[in-house]
Amino acid sequence: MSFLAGGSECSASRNPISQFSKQAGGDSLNQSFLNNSSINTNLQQQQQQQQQQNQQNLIRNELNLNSNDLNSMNSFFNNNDLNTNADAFNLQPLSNELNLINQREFHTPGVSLNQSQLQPQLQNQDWSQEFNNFAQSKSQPQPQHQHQHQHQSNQFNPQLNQFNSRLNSFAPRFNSFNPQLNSFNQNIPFANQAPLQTSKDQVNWDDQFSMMENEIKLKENKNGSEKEKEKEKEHEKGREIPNQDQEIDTDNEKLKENYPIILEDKFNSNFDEIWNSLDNQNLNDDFRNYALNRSDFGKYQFESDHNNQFSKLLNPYEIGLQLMENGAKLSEAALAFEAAVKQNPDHIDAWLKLGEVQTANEKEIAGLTALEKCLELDPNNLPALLNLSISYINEGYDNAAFSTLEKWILTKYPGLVDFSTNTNGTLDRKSLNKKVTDLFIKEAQLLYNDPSKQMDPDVQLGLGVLFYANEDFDKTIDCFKTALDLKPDDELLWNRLGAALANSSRSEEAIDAYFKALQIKPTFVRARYNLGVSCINIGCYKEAVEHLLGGLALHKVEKVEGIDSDPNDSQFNITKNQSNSLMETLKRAFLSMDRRDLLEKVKPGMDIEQFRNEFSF
Amino acid sequence: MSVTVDGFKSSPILEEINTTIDNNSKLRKSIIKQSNSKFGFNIKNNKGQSRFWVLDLKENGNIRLVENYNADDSIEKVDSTISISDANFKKLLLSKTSSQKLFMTGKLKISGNMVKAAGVEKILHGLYPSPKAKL
Repeated sequence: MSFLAGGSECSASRNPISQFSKQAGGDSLNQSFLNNSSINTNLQQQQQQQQQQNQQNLIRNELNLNSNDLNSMNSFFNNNDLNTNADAFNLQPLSNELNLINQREFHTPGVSLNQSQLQPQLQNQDWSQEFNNFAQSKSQPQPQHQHQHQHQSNQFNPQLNQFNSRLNSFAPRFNSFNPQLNSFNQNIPFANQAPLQTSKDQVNWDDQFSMMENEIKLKENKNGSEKEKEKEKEHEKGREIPNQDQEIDTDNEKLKENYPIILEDKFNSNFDEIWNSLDNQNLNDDFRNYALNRSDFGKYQFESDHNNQFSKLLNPYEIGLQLMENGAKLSEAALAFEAAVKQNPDHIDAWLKLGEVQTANEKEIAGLTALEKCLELDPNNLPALLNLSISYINEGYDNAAFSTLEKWILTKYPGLVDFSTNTNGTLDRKSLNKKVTDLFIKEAQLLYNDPSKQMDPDVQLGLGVLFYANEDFDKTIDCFKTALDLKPDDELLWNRLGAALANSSRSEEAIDAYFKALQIKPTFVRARYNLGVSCINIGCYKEAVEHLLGGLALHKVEKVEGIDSDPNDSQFNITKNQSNSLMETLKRAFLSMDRRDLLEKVKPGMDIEQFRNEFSF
Repeated sequence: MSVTVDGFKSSPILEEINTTIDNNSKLRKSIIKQSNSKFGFNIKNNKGQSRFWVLDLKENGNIRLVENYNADDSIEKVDSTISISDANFKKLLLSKTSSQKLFMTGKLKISGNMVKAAGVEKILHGLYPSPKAKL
């Protein structure tokens, strides 16, 4: 570490080279001289100019440079400008080295400040420090700008001499620095990665994986025979997936290049265990890193066949679509799609529709699990990715949402891969959000600037969701409104606009948006729930209760004749996939009204008809 | 054990919080780990009656109603005691006002550990979050 001992000498604070350039650069006149000298190669001309400049300097600063110093200064600038890569005076490695030394001294491994960031800082610091010292010595506590010139002129001559003498002493050192530099550069990538993966994260991962493993083992023990069947299916899938792979391969080649697999083997093996039916190659890194880093919602909970009137019908998927079109209760449509996926577990569209219906039906977890199942079958299903990311946002799994959105836009617009920056290691929430937001903005700009293409409302929606997660609600509202211009009849978008308005404390405007959504689709339970929340926020508890009860009423399903024998009850409650949020919010409304009598009636499986005498819904 | 008291409008909300913690052992664990403190709530209703509730986030992770509380009680030793009216406490629990506002206007008084008491609003909202609009 011989150079460390000399480090203080080389550090910018005492480095005459940097001092010199600073002093020259500090004066605007000198600066212009600097520029001139770089353009003109003729030494003679420069000298003349320089002398002119110096005469000006002399007038202004009473500076007196001798010709010797002038020459050496001149030759320095000339050398530097003409041969920027010349061996003798390549300042780049020196300043790089300075940074490295600095990093060492401050014990900040892995934080690789680049030269351009660090250098001005250092210079500024030194400058002000020096300046203060000078000011103190002259006992001028508040030196004005003009003093700088004096200050420079006083120091100029000795500095220049010093500089000359230092030049010689530096030249041989450069060679000894370079190998050090190389070894440092090699170390940097590791240094960058290591500290970012905090041990805490690792523990969390480990815990989660062990939990998942235990669950899997439990399941294995419980239903071994079913597990065997599943395994058979997985084998079948394993055979199918390579075919898919080849089709998408061309698209993904670029993606793979830009996203080398950097996860540790340990993580990989765990992923393989859990998501072994998934084609991991098709998932990019961020998606793998974050989308799976959340609590396991388990499998989709089916309503029992006994309660599902559609279970014995032919083609329940078509029936479900018709129910959706005719404005039937979303719960009924959900039952139809449940029947569809029970009859054919590989029905991708049925899983997708089931997910969409359940989220609109204010049953987030049910929707989430259905959408995840859909993606398991078809990893590049665009609507499933988009809807899933919004569900993740609602449930607070922001990183999972961001990476799902990233996968969505890279799948839909593969050209964007060129703009996607490859980041090693794990990102924090903020930088991941920024990365994905940049991608969406880029795509929105590309579509906007290309007259042959139409704006994509889904890009605007995704962008809005990204801003929403950052609580940048004004931008969110802009995005959603732009999307609504393109798709004015989308009740989901109206509801999302309402939610963004409500969360930026504009409840009144939000209520308008919710009403628009409900005009388009009266059975839209989520809009009713949001309406209830907004009513609570503005203190209209009675209205809130009515909207929430209206939502709960839509969760009841009409009974079909011949299925059950209780004639008094023409409706039944869905037993699985209850909506907790509706009931919790209803309780809150009753608490706000000081109605303990009503509060006690709110529980799963309650008969909402008992509220009819007081509330109309 | 029910912590609801007639005439105290904030008490059913405390009951709700108790149920929430009871049903969620994960939440109980994490909130005890995070806060590790015990708060006393000295609530006065509009009829001039007073009751004392203890929010124990140190040992059991629940809310208890303590009859005839006195500060020297060695069993229910709290880190800080918050004195507030029933109506304002209800507002605070339902996020209709902030503890800072109440404190500044003298409607909320704190004795004991001020630092821990400053975090009590956040804890209460963590246990009884206000509903959020969904996309």
